[in-house]
Amino acid sequence: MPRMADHLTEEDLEQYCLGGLTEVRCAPLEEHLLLCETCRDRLTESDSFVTAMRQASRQRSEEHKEERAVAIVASRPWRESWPGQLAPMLIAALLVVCAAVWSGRQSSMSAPLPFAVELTAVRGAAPAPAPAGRPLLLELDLTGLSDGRPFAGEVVDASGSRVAEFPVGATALLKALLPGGYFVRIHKSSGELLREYALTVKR
Amino acid sequence: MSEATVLTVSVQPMSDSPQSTAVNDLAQHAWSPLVERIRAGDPAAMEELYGLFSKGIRFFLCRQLGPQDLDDRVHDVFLTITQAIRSGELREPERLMGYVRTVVRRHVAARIDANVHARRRHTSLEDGIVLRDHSPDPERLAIRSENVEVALRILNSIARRDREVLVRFYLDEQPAEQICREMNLTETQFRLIKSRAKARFGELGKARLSRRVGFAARFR
Repeated sequence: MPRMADHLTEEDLEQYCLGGLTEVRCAPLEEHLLLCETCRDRLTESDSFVTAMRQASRQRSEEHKEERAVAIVASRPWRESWPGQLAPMLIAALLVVCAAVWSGRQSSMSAPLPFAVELTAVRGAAPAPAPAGRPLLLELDLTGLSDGRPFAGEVVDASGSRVAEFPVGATALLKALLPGGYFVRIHKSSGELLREYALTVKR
Repeated sequence: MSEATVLTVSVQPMSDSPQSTAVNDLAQHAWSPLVERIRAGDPAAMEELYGLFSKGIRFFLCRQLGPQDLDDRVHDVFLTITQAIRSGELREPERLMGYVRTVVRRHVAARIDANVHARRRHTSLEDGIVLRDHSPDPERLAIRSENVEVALRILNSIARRDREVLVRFYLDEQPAEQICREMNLTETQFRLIKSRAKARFGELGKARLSRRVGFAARFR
C-alpha cells in the first residue's frame, strides 16, 4: 500500500490499469494520484502500454493461428509425392464432398462459431459492430475498474430491457442477438453501474 | 493529458525530484486549517483547494468519462465538495483527500447513470437509436494505431518465451504467480521481461515522436 510520501510502484500502476486492485489497495493509490502529477503521467504511460500490448497480443495470436494452419497444410508430405498418394486424396475429396452435403443439410441445426467483439472503455470509443445470428465472444476492456472482483455483466437493448447477463472476466460468451443497438453494462456485485459499452448488431 | 507524454516511459520512480518533494510536502499537509478556512468562506482557501485538486480531478473524470464537457464536470465536483465542507458534511477534515475521491467516483457513476436514462428517453421518442459520437479524433486514432504497431514490433522481435509471458499477462490476464509457476520463472525474471518490453516501448515511442517533431518542423 503506497504511503503519500512515496511514488507509486510500477506494479501498482500496472495492476490499477488492469483493474486488478482491491478497494483497500485502490483507495490510497487514487488519493495519491489526485495530488501527484508525476504518477498521473506514469499511469497514462502505463495505460498506453497495457492497451497497446493487449491489442498487439490479440492481433498476433490471430495472425499466428492462421500462419500455423497454413504451415500445417504446407508441410503435409502428400504435397511432395502426390501421384503416389492419389487414392487417399480421392477418398479424402469424396469425404469432403459428403461432409459438405451433410453440413448443408444440417446447417440450420449446427451452431455457428462465436464472433469476437472487442469492447473498449467508454472514452472515445465508437459502438462495436457485430453480426446478427452468431454467438458473441465479448472481449471487455476493464481498464481502470479497480473496485475488486467479481463484477456482474448484462446486455440491454435500446429500450433498456435486459436481454442477457453474464459473469464478468476478460471475455464473456453471449448467445446470438437480433440486429439492433445494445449496451453492455458492468456492475459491481452491489449493483452500482461501473461502465457501459455500446454494441451494434448488424445483419 | 498531453499526447506527447503518452509514450515516454519512466521505469523507476524519481525519489529525489522536485515533484517528489512537493508530494512529500503534501503528505504532511494538514487539511484541518484549510477546511476551517473554507467553512469560514475564505476565497483564498477555495483557490488553494482548487489549485491542489483540480488537475487530479480532471484526470480522473477524463479517464473515466472522456473529454466531453470536462470543465463543467470539474466545476460540478468542486461545487459539491465546497458545499459539503461548508455545510459540515465533511466531519473529519483530515479525510479530505478520501472525501474528494469519493465525490469524484460518485460523479462518474451518476454521469453514467444519467447517460443511460437520457438514452432511454431518446429511444422512446425516435425510431431507432440515438448515439452520441464517441469516435476518437483522427490524431488520437493514429497514435493508438502507432502504439499497437510498436507493441507488435516488440512482440515479434523478442524470444518466444518472453512473448508468451507478455501474452499470458496482458491478454489472458493470468496472475503473475501462475505464469511464474507454469513457466518456471522467478519473480525477478518475470518483472524483468515486462520492464524490458515497457522500456523498449518507451524508446521506440520516443524515437517515433522525435521523427514526427522533426517532420513537422520542416514545414514551419
